Amino acid sequence: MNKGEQRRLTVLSSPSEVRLLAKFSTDAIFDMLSEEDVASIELAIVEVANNILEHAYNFEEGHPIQLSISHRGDALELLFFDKGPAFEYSQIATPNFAWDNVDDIPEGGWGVFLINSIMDEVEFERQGNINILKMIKKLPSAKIAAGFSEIEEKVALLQKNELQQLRRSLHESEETINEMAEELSSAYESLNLFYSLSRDVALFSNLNTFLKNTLEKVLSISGADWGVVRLRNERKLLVFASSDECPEQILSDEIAIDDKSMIEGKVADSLKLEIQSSYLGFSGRVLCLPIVGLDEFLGTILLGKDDLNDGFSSGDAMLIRAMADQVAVSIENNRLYSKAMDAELDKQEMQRARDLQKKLILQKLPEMPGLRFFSKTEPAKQVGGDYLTLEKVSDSVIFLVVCDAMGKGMSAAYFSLLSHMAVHSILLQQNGKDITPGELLSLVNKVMFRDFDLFGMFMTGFVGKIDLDKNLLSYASAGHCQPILFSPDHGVELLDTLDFMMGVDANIKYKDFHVDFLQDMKLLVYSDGLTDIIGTNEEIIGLEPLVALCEKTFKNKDIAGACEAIYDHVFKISGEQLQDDISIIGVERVI
Amino acid sequence: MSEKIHVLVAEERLDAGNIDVLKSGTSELLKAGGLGIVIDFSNTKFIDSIGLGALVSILKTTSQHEMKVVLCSLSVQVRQIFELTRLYRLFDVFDNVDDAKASMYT
Repeated sequence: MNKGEQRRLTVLSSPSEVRLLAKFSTDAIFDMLSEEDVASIELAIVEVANNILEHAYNFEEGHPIQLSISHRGDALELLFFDKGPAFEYSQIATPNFAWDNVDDIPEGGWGVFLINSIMDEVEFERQGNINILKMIKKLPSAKIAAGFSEIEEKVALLQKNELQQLRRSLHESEETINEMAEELSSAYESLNLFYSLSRDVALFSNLNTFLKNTLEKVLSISGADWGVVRLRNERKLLVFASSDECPEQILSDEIAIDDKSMIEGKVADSLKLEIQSSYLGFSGRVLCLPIVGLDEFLGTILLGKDDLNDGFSSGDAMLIRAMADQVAVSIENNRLYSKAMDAELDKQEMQRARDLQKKLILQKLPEMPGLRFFSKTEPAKQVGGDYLTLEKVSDSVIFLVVCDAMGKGMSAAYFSLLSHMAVHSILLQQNGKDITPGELLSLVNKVMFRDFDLFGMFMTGFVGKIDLDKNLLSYASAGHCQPILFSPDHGVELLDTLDFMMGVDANIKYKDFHVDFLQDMKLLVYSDGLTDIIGTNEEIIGLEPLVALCEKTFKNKDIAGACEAIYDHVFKISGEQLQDDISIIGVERVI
Repeated sequence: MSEKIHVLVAEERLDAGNIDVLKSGTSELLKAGGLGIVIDFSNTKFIDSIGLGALVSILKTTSQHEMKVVLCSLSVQVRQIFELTRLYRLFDVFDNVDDAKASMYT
């Protein structure tokens, strides 16, 4: 398989089809891993498939199992889909290894243990009524890279420790500076400058201005002829402020942080107060001080005197060192400030995105004699992945659509927007009266498939089409949670189709189903935010309570009243905090 | 008591699809009696946990019949699953059929 490639196969549940899956997987990966690894992945795949056969489908043959294999560059991603009841992998116990005699040895139950031993990551997820098992196997190069980054981390830690030591010694020097303040009673002017610098820290939000100002003051205190302040940008030290007299070779002296010995030389030498200027290729005296922030090397202050005989005093050095600390504080503040600013801007952007999404989704309810509508959508985060719409295509025909893109936040919101475009344009393009819900869903899936594939996204969706002339509700579902249909005579029933979610197979054909939709019947279409709720006692609320609630409220209330009551109830049991996006469409036939 | 040693050549794959063949094969041999059974894996490229479970079950039954069961000629994949499940300590494993047969007399 090439990098970025994805292969998919859907088989039906039976031992012989599991062999097909195994063959399909080894064919896909044989050139990517060692013989042992290919063999172990084949084993993991067969074990997962066996589990699905047993636990999801109870050994019944003919149910779908889908496997998708993606080469993600540094890892192999395997996704299994099935339609059985939820199967919680993490709750499977490790087999008993501590048997004493042969009769105690288990003859099964190794499956999950084997899968976990072979794969680097195993994650189980339920989307709508589909089980998704995601497994990651890192490829050898990724393992080597991980090894490298571990080494890098260790080196960074060592450097961090060195810098911490440095900082500690700098702190000690702060104490000395107090003593020195007395000694320097003759240097009032210098001290004033130092204090004004502390004040500047608060005044300047512009780092360049601040550093320029600082450098001027440092020069006047130390009596240095020239100076330069460099700050670290990733792996380089960049000149941020320099005095006019600064020698050309100093400014052009590009220092890469990679050259660790160089920095260490400078930092270490700075502790000895001075470094030999010949080191830098000119005559004179040079003082180099590190600027050290919270555990981090931020830059240097380099000062020079042209006269070889006029060195820097220890007093100069101590004072400048304290200034370097002030510079460090200022840089940290600057960073925090821009972080806070970015966060605020992000928040405002998100609000705008939310407003936009609301406008797209919550249009005015259509008016149609004989039908009453309700719609509500609430994202759990600022933007959500739900999309719902009611599209009237003629005087007697209306489409209702609910889609739920996997996940929350921006990427889900993006797919919500895409589905809006797809649904809307298909209904405009095709004569809405003639297209069936299944055809609409199949087309949406086809149109969006490239995007699903690109982002590894999945989406469930339900399309209902009410035709008043024919008294008919036609519907199709792409793995979406089952809508609830109420009739005064038969109570509530769930509209279940057995189709998969969108984003799995570009050519899937969603099936159409039909039921009568007569006077006083009500329909509730919703996203799983309404059922998959963890209650205050950690219990999963699920579908049954919703069905019971519908049975009660649909009898006594009109559609809007019933839907509001259902939403309020769910909101309350979620602890007044939405856990997932909630979308509801309600329809009632009044004539 | 018969000194006979049976050699059973396992199929290319041992999984849910054909594990019954191996099971019924061994129970026939158990009825026939003898020193034991050598299960030869030289053709076997793949075995899953269901196949493994069957081997454990075969081991239990043979010991009830006071017969031995040993394995030989394991491929990379077959060896792997024994190591992962730590069941290698349970079975006597040999490089080839002759060594496996010879072990029966000791």
